[in-house]
Amino acid sequence: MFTDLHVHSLHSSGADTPAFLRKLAKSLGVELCLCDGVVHEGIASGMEVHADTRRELLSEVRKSWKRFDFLLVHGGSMEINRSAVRDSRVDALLHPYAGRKDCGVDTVVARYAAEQGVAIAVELEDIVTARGIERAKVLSHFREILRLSRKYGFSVLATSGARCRYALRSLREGVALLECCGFSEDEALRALQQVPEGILEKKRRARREVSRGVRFA
Amino acid sequence: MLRAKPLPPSLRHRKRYIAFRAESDRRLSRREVGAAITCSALALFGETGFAELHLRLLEFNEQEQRGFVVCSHTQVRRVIAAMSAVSEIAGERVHLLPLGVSGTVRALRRKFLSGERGFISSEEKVKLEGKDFILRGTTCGLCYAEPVDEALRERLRILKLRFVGVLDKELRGEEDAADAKHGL
Repeated sequence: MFTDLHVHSLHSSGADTPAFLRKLAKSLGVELCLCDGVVHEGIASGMEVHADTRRELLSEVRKSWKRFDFLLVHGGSMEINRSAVRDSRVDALLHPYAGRKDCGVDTVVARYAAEQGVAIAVELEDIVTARGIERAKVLSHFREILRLSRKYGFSVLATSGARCRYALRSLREGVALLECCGFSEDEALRALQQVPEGILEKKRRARREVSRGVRFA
Repeated sequence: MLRAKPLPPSLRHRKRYIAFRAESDRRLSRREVGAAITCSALALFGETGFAELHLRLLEFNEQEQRGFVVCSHTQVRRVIAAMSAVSEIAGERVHLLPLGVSGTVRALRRKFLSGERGFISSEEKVKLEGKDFILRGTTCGLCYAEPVDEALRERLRILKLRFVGVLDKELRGEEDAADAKHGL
């Protein structure tokens, strides 16, 4: 089952109610997690942190990481990309290539991401909505991220980035789209299933801890 | 008139049929859907890649918004990617959802295209979280409501949508405790 960590509902910038999205996602075979910055009952809830400076990012992460099931950081500037992957409380860095000519992941970002267990996310919505040269750039960024992940061993997370019902994608569609960016079937399945499940499991485990490293059996 | 001799079975292309459902805020025509799939595949794979797909829209039921395409048996994944990459038709957001793949039209119809898909139109005024909406249609418990609020309409315009997706239970004010508890 595809676990989609980046979906927005009517509570943030989306167009559909959480209950509607949950029912639709179930029919598509998708485990829905909402990224509204609001805690939803019965749905894994996360937050997408938007920050302009490192200080702002750290302050937001400190405030939010215990409250939500997962924490995603909207990347773009190299300062934010590096700061996000240096913090193990961050679960994934979203679109590090936003507004950039390169993919936003250099060797420093790749090393930190691998060390701290922060995933770098690729969004299916970016492939779907872009046209012409823009889509070619996105595909090229995804290929570059994949190449660096093979070299440095950080996890690649795939999300739909859906803001409406028509942007949700099934597992089959996700694999097909990722294969267009050079992912093998195994890599695509890992990005769509195992990496997001691992992120949710990591938080569940952390919540069971009484103090760092000590938890109830 | 002289007709081409049919190829022997061993020389024919092996085909796969892919059933899909078009989801959009308005009813799409066969011509629009066919053009969208072709353009998307051409844009994604180029002319040489498109030639390898042997892709053609064979049928599209405009009432039920379902149909199927035929393609080469080795290119199913790429055709699904091309269909999935269709994001809008005539400025409105759409999703061509693949329902299944089969080697024969008969099996495809039996497995994926049987059963009716009803859509009940409506003009009812409803309230959701204190905001006014006009209910436009319902299918399988999923409701599509047009907001009256201008800020929400503007958000939908940016997302290339007309309606907000709501569950019928939410409009009736019912809380499904079991659903909430188990995260269904």
